[in-house]
Amino acid sequence: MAPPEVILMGTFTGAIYGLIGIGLSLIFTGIRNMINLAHGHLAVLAAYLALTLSSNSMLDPLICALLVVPIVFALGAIIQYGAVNRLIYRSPTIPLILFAGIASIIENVALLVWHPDPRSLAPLAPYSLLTVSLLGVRLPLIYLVGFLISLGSMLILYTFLKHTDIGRAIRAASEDPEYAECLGVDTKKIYAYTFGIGGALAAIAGIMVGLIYLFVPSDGWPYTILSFGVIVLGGVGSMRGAFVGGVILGISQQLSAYYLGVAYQYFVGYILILAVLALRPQGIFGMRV
Amino acid sequence: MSELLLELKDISVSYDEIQVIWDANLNIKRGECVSLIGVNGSGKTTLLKTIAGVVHPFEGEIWFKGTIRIDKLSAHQIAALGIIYVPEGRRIFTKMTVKENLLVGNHLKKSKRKEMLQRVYELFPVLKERENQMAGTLSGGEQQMLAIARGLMADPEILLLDEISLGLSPIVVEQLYEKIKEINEQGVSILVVDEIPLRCLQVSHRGYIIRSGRIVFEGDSSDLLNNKDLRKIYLGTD
Amino acid sequence: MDKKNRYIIGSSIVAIALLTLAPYFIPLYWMAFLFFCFIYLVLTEMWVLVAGFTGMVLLGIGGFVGIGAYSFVIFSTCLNWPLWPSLILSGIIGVIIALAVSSTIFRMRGAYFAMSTLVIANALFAWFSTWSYTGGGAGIVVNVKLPIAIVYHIALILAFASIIIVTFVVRSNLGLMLKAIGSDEDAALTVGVNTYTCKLYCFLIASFMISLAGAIYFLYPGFVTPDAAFSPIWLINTLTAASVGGWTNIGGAIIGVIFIITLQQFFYVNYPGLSMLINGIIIVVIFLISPRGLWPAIRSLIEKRLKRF
Repeated sequence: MAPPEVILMGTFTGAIYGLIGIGLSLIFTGIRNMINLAHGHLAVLAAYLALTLSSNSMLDPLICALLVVPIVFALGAIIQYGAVNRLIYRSPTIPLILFAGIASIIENVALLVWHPDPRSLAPLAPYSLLTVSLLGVRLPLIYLVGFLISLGSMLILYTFLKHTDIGRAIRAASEDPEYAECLGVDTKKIYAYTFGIGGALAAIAGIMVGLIYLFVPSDGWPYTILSFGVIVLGGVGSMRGAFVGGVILGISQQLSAYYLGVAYQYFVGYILILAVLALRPQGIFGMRV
Repeated sequence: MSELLLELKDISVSYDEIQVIWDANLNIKRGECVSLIGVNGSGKTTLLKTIAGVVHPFEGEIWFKGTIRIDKLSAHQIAALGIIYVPEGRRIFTKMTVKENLLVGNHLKKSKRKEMLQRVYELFPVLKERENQMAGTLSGGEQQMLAIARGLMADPEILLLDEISLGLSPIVVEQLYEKIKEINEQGVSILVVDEIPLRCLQVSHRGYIIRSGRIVFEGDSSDLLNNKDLRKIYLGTD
Repeated sequence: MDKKNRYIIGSSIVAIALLTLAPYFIPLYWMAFLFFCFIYLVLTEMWVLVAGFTGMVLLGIGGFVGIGAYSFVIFSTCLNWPLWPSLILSGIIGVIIALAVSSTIFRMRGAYFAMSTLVIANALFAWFSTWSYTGGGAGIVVNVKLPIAIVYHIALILAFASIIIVTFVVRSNLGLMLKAIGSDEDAALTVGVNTYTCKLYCFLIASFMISLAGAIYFLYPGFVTPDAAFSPIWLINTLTAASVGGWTNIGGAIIGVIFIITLQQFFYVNYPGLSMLINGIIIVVIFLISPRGLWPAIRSLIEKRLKRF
């Protein structure tokens, strides 16, 4: 049996993966089965923006997040409203190419502005060095913070989708956009909200991951794939599923890092995603694609 | 029964370069219930979708209240004006509760919304009973009621009802038509399309007959119902 | 039409003759330039076939480049096998990988298919980043001594072959079915097209050619790292070339490829990252102004002008 701390750390980072996966899932179900290929890049961009803001203002990265997350929301909404909305009606694969372009733009802007060497938000957050005791296990406080913020964000999203006009419109447009439009829902505007919110979730997750691990501009790609993995494992459109999918990925990464070495943690995660695609394409929890 | 609420002037529509509607002229006065009769594929649904802004005509004009031209507006803008399309096939949001369905896309103020909700629940008490149930679990008739109620929630000037009795039992259809009459009596103008022309004409004031994309007859419902030749040719009954 | 065909064939023969003789009279820089063009021409033509005509968005194109490169290194350097068998085998390994994953990924459509190819590419990347047999993340030297002119000629043959193959496939019966799948897979299925087999043929052709291109490319730097072999740059460059040349335009791909390599060489000296940034902008802008690609739009504009006179 693996040390409990490995499992616990996996669970906590997994919740963050769950959050970024829910962002991708929201965009997928909300906007005509479209995958945001630049999803991970939005997360990395958020981490870099928090880095710059925090190191210049000497404010805590989590406080900077209060500014960075709305910026990424706006960026996402603009991408959807200004560009993707024009292409979306042809096929769900066409926007992928546009997103590949956007991913390349974000990645290379980050390379020019922040350079390729690994960075971290941890030095800006002094509390990240503290440790806490939980269930008899000592682990860095920052893992717990990430876990709680991810759970909190999911709860807020759930309440928002359930109880607000825009939330209902997002769900309606996700199920039957043509009918929603007939009832007075401006689907193009709602898609912009959907994409913005999805991007904002990626941004929160990106900042949390940036507090725990190092990041480089090209990390966008693995983040996107992990987010996709979360919805593959958890089944698309299910928030609970995405959470569990994220936790499974998080634990599998921590376990493989522990037993095989850090170098193997991505490989094991990807193989897990492919295995689920091969054996249970509807996800572990059975929601149909 | 005086003001002209909706007016279609020489509307022509095509899908992918295949023309399906030719020079359609149609109007609805305030408070009227109008039926549109035709066999499958005659263009009834297309005409309704054209009014609702789901498809756009390549020729002709559509005027609302004589002053607002709506044929170039998008569907949600038309809905916001108070022209609500209730599509065929009982389209509802199955993954949302009954009450959530009723609240989608609502631009009304909070107080007005409560009032409408109450009015809709009075009309369809069964929806009140099931307000927290997932809409997908309703019976066919209840789903159709929900779709109509959903349209009513926007406090519409005109309801466009498409194929409302499709796949429903005669008893349920009868109940629905009672409700439609009631809605119309409350002052909502209605354009109704149905497979069962007789029942449709019984509740409406006037009727149009559409055939292969052209409107071939217009007249009072009673004329249509009493004219033996028309009945034989267009309604298929003696 | 006949006259136009004869014109095209005539100029192609002249172009091929010139390109074949080029190593003997152009400087090394331009030889390298043309070599990069040939490699990307293979990728772009395969993209046109797989994504443009058939509608399968092969995001994992870099996975096949990488597997080709690493297979070649393993055969030629680690196992010390001769050049030609190693080369052919590296293409075949690509096909084997494609066959192995086909039953899984062909069950999916649209964005899910596209993403699963990307996951496969990244899984391969993650594997070769850790596998000590090929040097892990540090990479491995390709121990094959070949005159640069030979490497150039191999790439030329492959590029020429890819144009011929795509042209041939598109005009054949298979191409007709691929186009049917590309425009509406369900409709194609209902009229009796065996969509699975058609997609598989198309996918296997592409995997063979792309893997070969990957193997040949790394003869030039003589050194393979996982970062270079599986880089997302393969995808972005190919997408840019295809969006400049047109998504379903076999000839346009040549223009697209020359465009991206020129751009890359131009910025390489000062800002290596800038050409990828510009590529990204080009993809986005072309998508917004002319979703079928830049070159087809320009051509129809010119044709309209000419008609007026």
